[in-house]
Amino acid sequence: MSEVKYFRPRSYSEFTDLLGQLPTGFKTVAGTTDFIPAARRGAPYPTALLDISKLNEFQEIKEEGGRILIGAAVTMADLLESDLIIEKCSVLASAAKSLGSPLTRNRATIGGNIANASPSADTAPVLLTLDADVHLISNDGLTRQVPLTSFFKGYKITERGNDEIITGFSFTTPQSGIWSRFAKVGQRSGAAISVANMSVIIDREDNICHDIAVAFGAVAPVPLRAVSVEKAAKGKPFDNQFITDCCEAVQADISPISDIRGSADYRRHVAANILARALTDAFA
Amino acid sequence: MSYKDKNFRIIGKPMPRHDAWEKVLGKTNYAGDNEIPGMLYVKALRSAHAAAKLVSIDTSAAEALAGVEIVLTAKDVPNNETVTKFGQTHTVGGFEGLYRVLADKKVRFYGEAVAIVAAETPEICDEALKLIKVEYEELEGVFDPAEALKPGAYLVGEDDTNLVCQYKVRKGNVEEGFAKADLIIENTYTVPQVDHIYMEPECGTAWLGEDGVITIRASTQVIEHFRGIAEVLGIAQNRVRVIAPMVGGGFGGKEDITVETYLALVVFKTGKPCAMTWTREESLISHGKRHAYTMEYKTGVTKDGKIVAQQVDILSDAGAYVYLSPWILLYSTVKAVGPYDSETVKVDTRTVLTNNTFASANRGFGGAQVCFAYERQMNEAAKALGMDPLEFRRKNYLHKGDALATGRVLENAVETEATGIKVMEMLGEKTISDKPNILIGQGMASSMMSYGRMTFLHDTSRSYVSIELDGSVVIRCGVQDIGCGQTSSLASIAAEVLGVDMDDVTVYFGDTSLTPLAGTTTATRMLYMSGNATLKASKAIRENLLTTAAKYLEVSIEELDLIDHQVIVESAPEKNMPLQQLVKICASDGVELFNLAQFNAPAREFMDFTSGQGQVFADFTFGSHAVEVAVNTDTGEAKLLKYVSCYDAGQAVNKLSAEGQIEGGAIYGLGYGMMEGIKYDKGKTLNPNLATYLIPTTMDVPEMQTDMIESGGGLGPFGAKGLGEPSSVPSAPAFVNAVCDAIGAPINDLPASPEAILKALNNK
Repeated sequence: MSEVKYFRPRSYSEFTDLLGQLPTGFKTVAGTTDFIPAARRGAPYPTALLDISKLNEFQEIKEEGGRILIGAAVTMADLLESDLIIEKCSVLASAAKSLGSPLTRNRATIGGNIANASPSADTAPVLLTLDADVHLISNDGLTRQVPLTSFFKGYKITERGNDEIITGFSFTTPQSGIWSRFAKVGQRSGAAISVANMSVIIDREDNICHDIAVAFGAVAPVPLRAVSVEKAAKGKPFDNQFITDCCEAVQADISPISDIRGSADYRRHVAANILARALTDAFA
Repeated sequence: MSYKDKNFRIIGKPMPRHDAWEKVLGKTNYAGDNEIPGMLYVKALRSAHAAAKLVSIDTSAAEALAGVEIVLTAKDVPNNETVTKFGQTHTVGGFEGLYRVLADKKVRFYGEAVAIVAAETPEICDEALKLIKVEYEELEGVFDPAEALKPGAYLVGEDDTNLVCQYKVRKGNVEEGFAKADLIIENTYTVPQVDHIYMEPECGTAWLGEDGVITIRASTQVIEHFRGIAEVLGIAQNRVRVIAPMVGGGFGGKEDITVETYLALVVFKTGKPCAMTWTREESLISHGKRHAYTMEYKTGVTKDGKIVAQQVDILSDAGAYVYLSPWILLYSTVKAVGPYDSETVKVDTRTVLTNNTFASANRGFGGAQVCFAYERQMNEAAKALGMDPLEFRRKNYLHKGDALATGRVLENAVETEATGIKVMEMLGEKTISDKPNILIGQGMASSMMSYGRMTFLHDTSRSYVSIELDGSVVIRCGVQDIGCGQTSSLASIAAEVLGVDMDDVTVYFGDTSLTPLAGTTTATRMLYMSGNATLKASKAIRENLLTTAAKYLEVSIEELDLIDHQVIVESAPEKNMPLQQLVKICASDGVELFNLAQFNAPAREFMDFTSGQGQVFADFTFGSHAVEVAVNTDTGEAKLLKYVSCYDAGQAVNKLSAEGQIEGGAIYGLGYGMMEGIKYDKGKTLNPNLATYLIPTTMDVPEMQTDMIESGGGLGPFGAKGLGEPSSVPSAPAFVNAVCDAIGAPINDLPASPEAILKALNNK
């Protein structure tokens, strides 16, 4: 029964003052919706907890210079109620809305969802398709930004160093007129963990797919951009062949496993099906 | 409006439950809310193997840890093994259930308690558990009941066979029946083990009473386990007291002993108070589950839609210990062909030990498994005949006066057909899909579920009712209230008969030392049994009150009634008298203002095992569910659009409670149909938490519509039947029948998960 130090800075200056004093092996927490269940399962406690959930600066959602900025401690409930997000990036709101139950959404944060790096993290495919950057600060005060597309390194392994804290995310505000969808396959309607999830953003005109971003979750060790699908679709006219090509391509992008929530075979089927449905609806 | 003219003031009306506000406000003191100064915390060390020889256990390091009070293993339990005799079958002979408090000799399932620790804090308990050294010799085990039956199979227990028991029912010659059939429908159905998932896990506290009596306050459906606990401790039964406060859900999972013996042992050994609460993981891996069945059904029908032959073979997985498996199998045996007539019937059933977590009671008690099979079978038969599923059922429903395959004539109300017609009316026309990837389907299921225990158990219940000097009423009845309104119903009954309001009645319940024993809150028996006992006691007091009033007011007793705290004189209202005044007169005249009544259920002898003929149940509740679903062909997800159900409740005692039971039962059963199932890898539970063992959320259930027929034809108070278990039985087949209608392909294995539905679609 070891002692765990607990820090909860109330302001950004308090936070930066604290950075240098954090002991090695500290862990950043906010909503604790991943941390508490892991601790209950017997995961070892860190030396210290840095709770960033009460930091106003990390709870902001704003638009600056054509980019949307979202603080790490923004909760799912904040996202799905934000006018800015609903208006300019509804695909992120729908992912936030699909995560867990109201109780979870009131606590779970976007920073935690990405830091935890679960393959099924619901905000991950959306941020991937938005080409979001991850903002990091280390305990020596240095900051850097990493594209999310190169952030996930392996199953629950990320680019973030042990001494680094995610402070937020930013991405170019999506153009108006693009078509987007977040799709989720779960085992039930409420409080479901994704068996497969997908975000699609399409810039299309008439029958032509000018640009497309597709990302999947829960069908590989990490959430990923479906690069083969994007290559197969970009610049092509929408027709039956287009759907067939994209659905074939997606099988090369994903590498699902069978687990307690579903078989690899089921994941391959639904990934293709929800992609085909999205493309069909986008050009309808 | 009064009890006298059967135009009830309270019975059958939608009344808020007397315990509702306390629960909504979080004030109800459940078993786990009790804290006793200085109490020890108790935790169990659970086996990490499903089948292993227990070579040695070294508890010395754990005992040496500061803050540890005691560590107990099988050798410390005065009577670690007890045996329940269930009876005998024709072919197997005697069968009995072994109960072991702590694992001994052989570990039989993953999660079986091997030792318990009592310590000052839960954290010290956890540390101590890690310090216990258990040497196991892993054994091969057997995990499939069919494998367990083969000669030379691994033996789960110490007996020379894994077969627990088997039954049969024979009506006519089934081969002759099949010869008459124009079509024969054969299918194999499988259903997995499922859990109860009560919100409140197994928990309780215990202490040594000032009188030296070991007192256990626990979440249980059976306070009368005090007898078994006394046997384990080797002390007299009157030295153990069990109290059941309001229970946060039972569903059959708290019918067997859970924490009680562990708590009692710690008090017995240390004299100190203690508490034990199981985690959800412990609950999922180590208490009894609903039995997994494989069910082979062969049904012969004529072209005009009459069932002429039903052949059923059921193999049940009892898991690692016998517990209630023999009784549950008997329920399934008698109900195997459901509320339908058939010229010939042949049923064979077996239950077998394996090294999976043991199976025992779960809402429906063997009724839910067979309902899935017989109702899927009804739909498949209708489909083969090209007949509407309701029309086919209507040609075969049993009616009052008909006999079951066991020869038992249905003497009471049988309104199955009326409920079937009603639910299809309520469901209405099929919704038309406006999306290419959405298929709409409708399905129904009817069921027959007993209420009350099996008649050869000679069931009884007792209730004490008294009226105080101010006209308020007290009930003392040893019921366990598991959240279904068991105590509230008793308050309604006494208030109706004695002419007072529900608020005027206090119900003391669930205490073996203070409340007359009323039996178990299981088998949908509480309203039927304790309701009748309470009615009998209330009527006796009413009789005393009115006899005294007639004498005092010099009117005939026929003219008197008790309404709204008054004695009413129908012919001379000016003589009306406040109830309180009458009570005082009775008190001063020495008239008894209390009554302790016992209700005895109709009793029969055991059925004939050579033919399965005889009466096993006193009566049944009949009802139907109907469902409309929208299946997404991309993902296999099935969204419920409509859910309707209708029951013959006999007489609803509290309309709101009855509706609540019907809705809750439907959702409970839906989980069975849609998503639930324990998954094992060689006996190890793979989904021991609520992130992986899924039950329906409110997002999975549409607004429900319920309806009731009140035939008055039940054996309960005022003609009531029971709803607790019956309400949950037909959900799974109704849901799956709707899905099959939508996708045009059969699904015969539960749960019909999105993945299973997509697979069925792709295999079409």
